Amino acid sequence: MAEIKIEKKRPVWPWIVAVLLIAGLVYYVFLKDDQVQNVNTVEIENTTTTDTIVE
Amino acid sequence: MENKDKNLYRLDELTDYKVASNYSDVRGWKIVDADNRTIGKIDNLWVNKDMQRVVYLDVKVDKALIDDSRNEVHDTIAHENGREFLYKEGDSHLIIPIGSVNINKDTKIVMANGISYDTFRRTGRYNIQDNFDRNYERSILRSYYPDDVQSGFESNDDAFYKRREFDGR
Repeated sequence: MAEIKIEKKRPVWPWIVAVLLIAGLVYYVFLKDDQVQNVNTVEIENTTTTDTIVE
Repeated sequence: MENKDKNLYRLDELTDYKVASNYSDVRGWKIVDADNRTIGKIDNLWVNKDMQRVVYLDVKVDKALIDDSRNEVHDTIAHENGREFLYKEGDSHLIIPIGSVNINKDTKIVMANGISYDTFRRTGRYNIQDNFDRNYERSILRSYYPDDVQSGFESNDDAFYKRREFDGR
């Protein structure tokens, strides 16, 4: 004969916190570096332009 | 006695509970009698929160069975000269003790082995809009198991469910 037991659902909020933490870490590591590289590129272009004008 | 006083809830009401792993969630499955005649579809599970298990299957009774029982009532009225009508419109649900059925996970069909189609046809139904009381539970057990009078039958607490009709083992 049949038996069906029930159990409490595991709370979802620890997973949400974990996902937010990982997303924050990914943003810090990758997107922060991308912004620094863009700034360097602009500086190099400016230098080249200045040299051309002097000649 | 309210169902809440008996720790009896529809599983849908308990949003922080679910069917435990390794057990089948039979909601939506068909239920048949021992001769494979359709009784209806399992609409919900009545659970005892303290016992952490299902005690009744809530069955939405098949229309054909409802029509059959209506015809029987009409015949009874015709022959017995006005016996009181058994069912009201909207009384389309039955409860079945979990220990009275077998679950086939492969076919997704639940079988009530020891209870016949005719017994289901004669058993009192209830309206899903209303809750049932302990008297309705007793009348259901008397209908399914007329010869089976055990201790605890008059109990108003959880001891009522410590009967073999609710025991899946």
